[in-house]
Amino acid sequence: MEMATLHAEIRKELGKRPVKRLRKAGYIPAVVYGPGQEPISIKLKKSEVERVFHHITETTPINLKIKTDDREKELRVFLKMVQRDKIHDSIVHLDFYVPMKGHKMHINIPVEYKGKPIGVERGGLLEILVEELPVEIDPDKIIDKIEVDIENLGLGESLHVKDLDLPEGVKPIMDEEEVLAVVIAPRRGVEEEEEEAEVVEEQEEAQPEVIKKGKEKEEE
Amino acid sequence: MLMPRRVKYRKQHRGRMKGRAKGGAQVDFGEWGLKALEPAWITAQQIEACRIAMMRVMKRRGKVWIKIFPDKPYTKKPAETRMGKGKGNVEGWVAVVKPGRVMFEVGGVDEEIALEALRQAANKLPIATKIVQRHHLGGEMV
Repeated sequence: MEMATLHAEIRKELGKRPVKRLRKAGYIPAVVYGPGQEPISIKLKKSEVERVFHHITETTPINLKIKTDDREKELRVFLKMVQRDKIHDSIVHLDFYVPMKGHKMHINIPVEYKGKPIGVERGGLLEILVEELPVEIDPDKIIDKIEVDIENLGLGESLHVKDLDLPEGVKPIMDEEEVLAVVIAPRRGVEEEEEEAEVVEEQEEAQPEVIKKGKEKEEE
Repeated sequence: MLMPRRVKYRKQHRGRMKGRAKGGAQVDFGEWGLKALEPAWITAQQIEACRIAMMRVMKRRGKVWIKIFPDKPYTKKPAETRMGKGKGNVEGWVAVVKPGRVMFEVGGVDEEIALEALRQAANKLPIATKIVQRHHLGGEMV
């Protein structure tokens, strides 16, 4: 499994204002925690994070080198949470998780759907509902991704969690009946839809019904 | 046109549009989305115009998700009416959109078609917008 390396420093800036100044200086605030790990506030260089971010997922082990006053501490961590700016999409904060041996962890594993379903060839539309499967897994047994063959999916058919062939030790947290991907039957023509919209327009002008108060209902 | 089926009250106060979108700020269903960069009231008519514009580009391919709903009534007094005599009549329905909100999503089509559909939808809106792509990076997004 590919491993990424990130360099970090201990962060003394805590709270909204100091952290805002930190971001302006080109750093990203982050935190490291885990079952056997006291939370550590750290900061990472934005340029370094952005370079690495294009090819890591939640399942990529990261070698986090944290520089303290006089020495360097190395931790094997996983990316737990990414907070982004709602307008600019820039990274605002990161959470790193330190797994503990014997302690199962919850993680989202990317699902890779392989092949072109039969239903799509017949004019259907493949809708992927789950791109990352939440699972309970042992830290030593983490897998990069889950590959699923969807070539046999016909029109109107769906792939469920129970259909997945998961390796030993990987337990999905989702319900077995949950749908992962579905091939939807083709829609009606555009013209029909537009006509329908016009009809609806004519019918409207009616205002919504106002919900009456409870007491009045009782009286009725 | 989109509007609620039942409401608790017929008329509402105008309110303020301070701050950024609280939720719905990322692409959740499709592959591409149209994000608002300014606050605005988006009317049911504008949403419908966007939908039709996107459908025209996408024809029978792919899927469109409309992630905003006009659940706020707006009122207007008739022309040449003196002030007073109570609040005006309900004229239409709007969705309150704040910066960062992903209003429409498109999926199941090629990048070229998706971008063109969203560009056409953006032309129908009274605010600045930008086209955003779904984040494929692992990690829980917040």
